Amino acid sequence: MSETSAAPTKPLGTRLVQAAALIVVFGLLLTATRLAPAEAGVVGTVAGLGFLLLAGTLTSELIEVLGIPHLTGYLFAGVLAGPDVLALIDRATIVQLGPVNTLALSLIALAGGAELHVELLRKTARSLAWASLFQHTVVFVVSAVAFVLLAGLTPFASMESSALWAVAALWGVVACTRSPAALLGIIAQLRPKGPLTTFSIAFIMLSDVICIVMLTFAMAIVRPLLDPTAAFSIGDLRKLLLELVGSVSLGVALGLALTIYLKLIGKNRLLVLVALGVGLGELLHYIQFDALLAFLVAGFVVRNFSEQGPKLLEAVQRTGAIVFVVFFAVAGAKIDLGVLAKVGAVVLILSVVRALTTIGAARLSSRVAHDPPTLQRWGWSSMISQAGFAMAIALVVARAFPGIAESFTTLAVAATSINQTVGPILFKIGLDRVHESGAAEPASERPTDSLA
Amino acid sequence: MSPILLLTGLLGLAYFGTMLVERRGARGFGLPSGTEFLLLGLLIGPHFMGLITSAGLASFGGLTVVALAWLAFVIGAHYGWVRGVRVPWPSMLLGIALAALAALFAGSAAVAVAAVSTDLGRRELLLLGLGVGAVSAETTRHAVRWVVERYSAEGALTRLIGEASEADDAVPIVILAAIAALMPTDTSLALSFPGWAGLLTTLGIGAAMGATCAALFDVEARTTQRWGIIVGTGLLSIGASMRLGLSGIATTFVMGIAAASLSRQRAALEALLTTTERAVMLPALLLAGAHVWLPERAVFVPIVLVAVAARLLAKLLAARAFRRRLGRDVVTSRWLGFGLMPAGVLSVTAGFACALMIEGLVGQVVLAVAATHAVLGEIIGPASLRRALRAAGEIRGSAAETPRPLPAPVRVARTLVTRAARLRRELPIDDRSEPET
Repeated sequence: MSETSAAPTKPLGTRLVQAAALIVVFGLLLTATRLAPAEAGVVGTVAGLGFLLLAGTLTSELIEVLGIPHLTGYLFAGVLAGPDVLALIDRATIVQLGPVNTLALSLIALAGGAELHVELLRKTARSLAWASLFQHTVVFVVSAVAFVLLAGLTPFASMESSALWAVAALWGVVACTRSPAALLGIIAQLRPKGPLTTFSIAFIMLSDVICIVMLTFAMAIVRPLLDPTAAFSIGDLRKLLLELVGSVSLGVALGLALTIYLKLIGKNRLLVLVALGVGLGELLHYIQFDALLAFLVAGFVVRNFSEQGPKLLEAVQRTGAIVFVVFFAVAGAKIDLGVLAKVGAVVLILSVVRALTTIGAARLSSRVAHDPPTLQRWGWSSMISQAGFAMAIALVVARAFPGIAESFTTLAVAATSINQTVGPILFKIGLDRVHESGAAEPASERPTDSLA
Repeated sequence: MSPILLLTGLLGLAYFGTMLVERRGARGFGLPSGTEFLLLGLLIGPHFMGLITSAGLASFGGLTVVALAWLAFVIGAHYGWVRGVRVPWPSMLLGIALAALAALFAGSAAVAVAAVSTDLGRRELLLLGLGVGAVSAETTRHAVRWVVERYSAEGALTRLIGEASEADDAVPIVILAAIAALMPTDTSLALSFPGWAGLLTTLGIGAAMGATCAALFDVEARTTQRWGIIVGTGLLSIGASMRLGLSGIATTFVMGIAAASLSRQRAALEALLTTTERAVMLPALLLAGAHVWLPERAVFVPIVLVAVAARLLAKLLAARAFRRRLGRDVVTSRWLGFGLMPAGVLSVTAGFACALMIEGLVGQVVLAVAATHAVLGEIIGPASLRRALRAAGEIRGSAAETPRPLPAPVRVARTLVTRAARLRRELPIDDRSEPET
């Protein structure tokens, strides 16, 4: 474990207890699934939820001694338990755990918004502007070109040139996405503080919004290329505008409501966050607003227009400590090793191209923005991770263009699998190298804290 | 109502529950056994107002069983302890024996009537007897605590009732485990368990996961991580045991006992778990209420009435046993037997579990008996217990005269009106000061 890591070193006895518990946990579910092999509905989901929570936590604690971030431990536990390895978690259970993803993404967005202080944005405005420009243009263009050049190795080999460029443009958008979940997962574990942390939070949250806009524009433009019967429609842009305005308005209203709640009542925050994350998340999805943006704005409002930001952040961190374990463990279980093996080579090349372009663009933008040396050197480290947001973008593409859905999703899943495994490790290395890990005050942990 | 909306509503109810328990504890909160939520469920359920549809309710069947198993975990974690003090063995045995007696009386009476008035087969009659026994056994500790804390009761009788009401929780859970073992084995199982093996496996999983939970809890000081350990071990035990066709409720009860017994941080473990009790209990009561239905009243009524009468008889006998145990030094009144009538969340959730496990008439009868016990116990139990304790001289004079609090909704409404009036007075612009034209 790195010296700069936030978590204190634990004694050998603790590690032995955790290892023994991990064996019991795996043993119990292994026995249950072997004796009752059929898909088990709600029962399977409950067992899966408990298992992923425990196994993810214990695995992350045990691999902590190797200096590997917790998040990778959650993923690893998920992969091991997933349908392709031990099959303790079946695909139906993964689908059933969908509400956990909704909740996790809502919490991530809420925390992300609450981390965005206006002062922070003002301080990093110059760096942010350049980084956003370079990252969303250079990475988009290079990734799209690489996709076209490598098309012969992908399922799109026989596609016409114009359609191929259309798919490449959509791939470029996916390549531009980052993982707020991975960012906040690492931050929750290491509690870092400093320019790299500040910049990473601001950039990745802003990048989410930019990617949503990019996706809508890209879809409107490429639609006639992929579907000859369709024409360029201004309707998509109008829909985007409506979605953005609606999401922001709802986010502001939610932020105000949360502020009032935190100020006047402030109790049972966990239950309130869970109810909001699941209930409102589903509602926003139903009315086709962007839940991520709405929660981001809500967090931003609470942080910048009230004094309740720290309260909200603490509550989200506490709730997230459990939810994120399951979220990443499920993400690990979702990794389709068969698909990865099939398109692994080309996806690996595409991922390397994306990573190198990201690093290059980050260094260039940092130099132009006259960032501090630590940021110039390690500013890219938080930009490699991809997770739920990239998958969500890929699913939107798949729904909009059923003709390319399967192949596109396969590639996106494989690429995301690689980036979500490697990315958090790189970010942790970056934070450790610039000595930001463990610099922030740890959140208070009172032994008598209740569920609320 | 969509499942997501219902889930959000239940979370809201859970919020309400934890808010109440944080502010007031058991004392002064609503009705002693929380029966108002059972009745609310009945009212908004598919058979009355229909705000919760049968389909919506069905989609929560599995989740409800999980909630019940979680309650069993909580009950197990403080089983055998009253306010941090271990219940003495004689009191434990007395509580268990008297609960078993009530279960035997009520179950046998229900079977006797059902055998005459229905065409149920032997297996169904056995399940009916066990189910009615499970819901008739306990005297809810919530009602006992409510009376004891509200009237500051103190003394030998108070202590004995508290200890016995804590100890009797084991009986319905053991019966539920037996019912689960009697239910047809899941055909998806690669192995089929005989009944005794099922019970042993239940005990084994509960003990192993309890020990795991205790060991991890002891080496982890961070509260958030401790929550992860509790939730993870609880859910895994429930899911794994139910997947094997075992009783999740019995498994988690054993797990709770094992975890609390083995952990060096028992008090912290119990404190964390207790905060979840109301959060789970109120939605469970609401859903149980929504499930209650009497499709064939002519058949139902005698069984329910006989079960209630048999339970009352058993509780009157229990009162005699208390008298004998306490000796002549403690004055006991005839109200004591009625004071042991409250049946709360455990009875209702046991009935609910039976209704979910045993489809058809038997499950519905058991749930109806449980709901009747809860409502009747709520009406006569706390007042009788107060009288019995006052007769025993264990309630101080001033406390005994404390008026019964208004029901929770009335108090909430009154608080809102008071606050609104205060806010109006404090507003900088007062329209009443405007001169009339």
